[in-house]
Amino acid sequence: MADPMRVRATENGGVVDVKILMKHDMETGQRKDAAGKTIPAWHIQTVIATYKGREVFHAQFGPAVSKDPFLNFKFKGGAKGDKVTVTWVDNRGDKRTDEATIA
Amino acid sequence: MRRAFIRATAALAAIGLSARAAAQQAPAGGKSGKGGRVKVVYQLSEGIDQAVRAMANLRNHLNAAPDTKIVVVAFGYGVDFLVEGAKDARGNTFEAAVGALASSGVEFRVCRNTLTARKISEQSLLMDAKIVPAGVVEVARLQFDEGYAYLKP
Repeated sequence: MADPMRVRATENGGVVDVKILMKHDMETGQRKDAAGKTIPAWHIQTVIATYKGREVFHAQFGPAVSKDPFLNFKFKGGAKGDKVTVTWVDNRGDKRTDEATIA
Repeated sequence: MRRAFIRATAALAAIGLSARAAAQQAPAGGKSGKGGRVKVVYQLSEGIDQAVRAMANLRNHLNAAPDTKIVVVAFGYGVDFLVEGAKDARGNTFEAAVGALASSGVEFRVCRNTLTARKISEQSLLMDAKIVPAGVVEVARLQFDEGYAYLKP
């Protein structure tokens, strides 16, 4: 199981500000180890955020995204006390889902 | 004459081998008391200037000994640099430095008592910060129970 991500959501004037810190090595497939062998690519490919079952954010990540990616986005129409759920899937099929209560 | 010389060198070689074997066993035997990996707790409780020094110390520490497990415990004024938007004397924020250190395995633990006493909300802290019930207890616990070395930059 992958490491948990940190999700923080705050509502202000009907707009919810979501901050996500994912824990992932994001190997590009370009790096080599000490023995000169290529380290295979291993990175997040999709990130989806949902609010009340509705998709509010969808991203496709590639090898150019940094290790431990940080993501910040806003969406309209969220209310305090509700939950935002975030899921990522990487190119090995590993998944991680975490949620945060809007404050 | 020649045979005696060979015997002598063989005996010397044997002494050398056993000495080396003993040297290899010594750290293995010592490992039972402490883990193989060096663990260090940094206490930050004096504000921004100390935090700036600590960032450099932490980077140098990891450069010189990448395997070290480092935990930073922040309480009192040492919490300031982990608040979003905090700046050092030159006007640089700490977010990038903290983020890079966190990526290389440094943990940042913040004292809840401090947050309550100084009315700092959990939401205003950087995402890399984790919250522990009490900073002083955490520093003591890491040293006493988990064998961490103590550093205060």
